[in-house]
Amino acid sequence: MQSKHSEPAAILFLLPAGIIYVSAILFPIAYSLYLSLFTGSGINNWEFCGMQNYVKLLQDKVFLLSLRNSVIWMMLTLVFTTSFSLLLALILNRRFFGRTFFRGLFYFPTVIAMIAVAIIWRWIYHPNLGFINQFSKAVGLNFSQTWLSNPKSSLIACFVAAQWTAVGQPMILFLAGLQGISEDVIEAARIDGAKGLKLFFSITIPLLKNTFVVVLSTLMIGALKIFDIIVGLTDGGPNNASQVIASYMYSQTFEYSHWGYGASIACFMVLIMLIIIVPYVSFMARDT
Amino acid sequence: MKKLLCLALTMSMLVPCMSVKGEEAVKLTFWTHSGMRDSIDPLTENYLAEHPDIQIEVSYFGTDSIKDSLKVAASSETLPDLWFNWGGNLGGYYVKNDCTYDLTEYANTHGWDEKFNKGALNLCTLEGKLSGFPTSVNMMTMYYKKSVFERCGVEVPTTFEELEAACEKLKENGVVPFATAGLYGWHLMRIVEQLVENYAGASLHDELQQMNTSWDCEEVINAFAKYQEWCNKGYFPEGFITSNPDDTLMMLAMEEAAIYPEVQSFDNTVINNELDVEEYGWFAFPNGTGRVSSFGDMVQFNANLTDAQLASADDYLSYIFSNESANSEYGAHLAPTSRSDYRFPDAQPHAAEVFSYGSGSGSFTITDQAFPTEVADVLFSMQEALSTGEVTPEEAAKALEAAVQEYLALK
Repeated sequence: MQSKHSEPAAILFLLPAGIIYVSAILFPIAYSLYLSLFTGSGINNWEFCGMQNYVKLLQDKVFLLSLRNSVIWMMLTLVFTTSFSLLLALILNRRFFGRTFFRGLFYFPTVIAMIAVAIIWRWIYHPNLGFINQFSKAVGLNFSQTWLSNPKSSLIACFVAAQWTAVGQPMILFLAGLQGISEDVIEAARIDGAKGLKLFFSITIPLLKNTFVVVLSTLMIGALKIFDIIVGLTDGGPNNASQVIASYMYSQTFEYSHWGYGASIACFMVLIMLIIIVPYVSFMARDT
Repeated sequence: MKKLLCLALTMSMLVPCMSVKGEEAVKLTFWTHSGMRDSIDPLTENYLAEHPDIQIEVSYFGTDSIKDSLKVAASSETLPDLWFNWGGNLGGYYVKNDCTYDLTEYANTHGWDEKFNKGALNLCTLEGKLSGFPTSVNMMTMYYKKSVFERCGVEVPTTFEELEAACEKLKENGVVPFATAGLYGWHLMRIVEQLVENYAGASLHDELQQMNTSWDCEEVINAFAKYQEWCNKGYFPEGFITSNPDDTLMMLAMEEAAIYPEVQSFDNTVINNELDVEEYGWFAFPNGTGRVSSFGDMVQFNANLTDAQLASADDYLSYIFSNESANSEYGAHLAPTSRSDYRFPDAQPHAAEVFSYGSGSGSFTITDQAFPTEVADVLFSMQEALSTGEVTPEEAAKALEAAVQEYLALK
């Protein structure tokens, strides 16, 4: 039985982490919320403007475009990143020669900084010297494109580049989830006649429910926060075609010194995350 | 005996503390551009070896990151003691917000009018205050590769019509006329601002830059129309809008493109890339006024510097950005053209010519220094939108004027 005396001791032990959490997380959030109610572009010339920044947000064409792009990015992430990382995890969960090597190989790009990935892919996409256009020329395909400069393809090109590093982390989580599924359960399902896709959708996927909660929520948060690959590859261009919420928030805050407006974008971003992620996690976790 | 030993030991430990307190070291923090690191690091080491009473901590940043880092530092009142910056609106932000030391009086009493050339001091005078230690003045002209011009039968253009004819000829010969890149906007802007100068003329261009007259005018529309026409004719490299300015020199060196907009430091860049500087020539963009675009850079001083820090900062920077340091074995990344006594190295044949031409012909402020950042970024967006045909020149001019009005209203 737990002693009553353990409560003050627990609080004492939690205090250092609590102080860090309040000063590094809660206070900046509250301060951003406070800042978002002010306008001005200088250092000491802020004026209280109430909800004006939020009203302006909804009329700002570039913000709405960046919001649309962030939502597209999130949808693509949910469909492609999740599917591809799950597929890789399923393959790498099988027993075959060199399995450990391939696990390392597919996880490796995850450790590379996104800005370095942007530099690598800038050269891959280079219109004249880039690998893709040169390769298509070499195999006789007339497929040369200006991948990043075309407003229709720039966002997708950035997304493809980001996938190189994005699949490693969810793949590892899925792999851990798959390894947590008991062989006995699979064996029992097989004896009952389940096989192939039916086994996968009726047994494996439901048993990966907890892993899905973690993977999908982290992927959604990551998708809404995407920033460095965009800045490194297109800087949000051409003409804001690949602008996303985080890059727009950065430019408003740190390039133009519109601290209040930038803070309102950040608050809006957090609000979207809460609206999407909290219901999802609570719905998925209710039976757990 | 034991007590005496203890006393002696205690005294010996106190002696260094006393001497430090007696000669309190002057401490300075300095944020500067990473492009100068190979020069500033060894020169600072040399300087500190001769000045044990001074401590200087230097931090390096890239072109865009220093701008953002300084704004964050200014807003949180954590600016360093000294920081590299450009003139115009970039440096002006810190003056308007009272972050910089007004050096006017110090300069008057320390002979800066003899130490620096007048143009450099003017570029550093913002909001009526001398807001920094001038480090260089830069004149933007067009560099070209002689062999490409010869191969394509192109003469150096002296009029705008000749320039257009040259571009057409280069394109016919499979060479992209301009080696430029649109990522971050500023490199491509070097061409667009010349088109504005060409169509608007000197006085209207100055008024436009100062936001005293509307950008939604015929001259600007004509300039944007010409730029869009050049985009459609393929006068810029394929995919240039999102190409990185760092990769543009390669296009020139590989003879894929012919004309490269750059300041007089081009010679230095070519030499540092182990290319032959004699293979290149230069000309002023034939814009009808003869003016080149120019910009200054400087080291700004924190408004809270003490007198001792101010004197040490001046002494240190005077050593780093001196004719002697620039011509020493470590000076490859320095060109203190702000100094009256600065002499370009013999190995840089075009630099002195370009600087002399720019100083004589007159200049206009480079657009991203003339404009506040938010207006410059709208210009950059319009450069992109015009290149892809998303907007017409009329719409681009309207959008730019709207950005100017929004900025003025906020101001």
